[in-house]
Amino acid sequence: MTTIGPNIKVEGQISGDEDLTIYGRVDGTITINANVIVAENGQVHGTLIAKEVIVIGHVQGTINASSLLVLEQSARVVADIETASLRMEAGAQLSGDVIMDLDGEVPTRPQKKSSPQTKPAPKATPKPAPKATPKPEPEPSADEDEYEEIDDLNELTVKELRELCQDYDLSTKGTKAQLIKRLEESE
Amino acid sequence: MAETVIGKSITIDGEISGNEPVIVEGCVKGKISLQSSVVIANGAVVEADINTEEIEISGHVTGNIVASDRVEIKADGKMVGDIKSPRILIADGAGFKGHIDMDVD
Repeated sequence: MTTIGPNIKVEGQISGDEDLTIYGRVDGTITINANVIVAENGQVHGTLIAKEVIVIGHVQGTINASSLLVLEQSARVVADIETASLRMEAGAQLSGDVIMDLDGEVPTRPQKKSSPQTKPAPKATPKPAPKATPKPEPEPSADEDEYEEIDDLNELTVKELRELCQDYDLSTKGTKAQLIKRLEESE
Repeated sequence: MAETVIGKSITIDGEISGNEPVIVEGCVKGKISLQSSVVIANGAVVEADINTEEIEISGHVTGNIVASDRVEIKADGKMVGDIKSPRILIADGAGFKGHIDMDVD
């Protein structure tokens, strides 16, 4: 059992395979093949790699807990976390990325990565689309195309306009101008 | 409550500083700088310059020691390096190689 006291600062690398409790401050890398407790007022700035990590104090940097990470109520953590299991008490503060190994049960990640690959396909399709649209314009006789443009309505005959009005359940009475105005307003 | 202990399986590569007692049972490489006391326990290996008030050596130390109060090398202790301190004790059986400066006027 190793303890770093409250008035002690360690700068550098700590490694070993026994439990470590930090009441003081460690700047650097901790690689422990056992459990690490960052006690109240304890501070770790750097990388913390251990089996089970309990944080009551402060950690800034990276935490890699192979079995369990516990963030107690007073924990203040600004770190990227990689752990198998995470327990966070109400009041604990955490800022950083959390990665948990979910044994490949997360399908969302691969989907997000594949979505940018599908984007080039829609980019190819808009090119033929503008070529297709100019063709119907010189053929106002087709019933499907006449509603869109005001100019198109002026080109239509009164008979065709009346048929249009019938399609829209509008009155077919009046002059050509009145029919066009009625159609425009109905749109 | 929380005395500082560097356990047997622990290796620290870097600097330890502060103002409370430290017991080293494991391995420390680099520098120890304390306004307090250091105990290098039996089995410990320290390759570091040590600056402290008081130090007791039962393990192996390689490096220079500056102690403002006292240095004691116990019977199990081995020390290679220079010592600067006003009071120095070297027990029967202890190993020591280096220079001693007791700052005698």
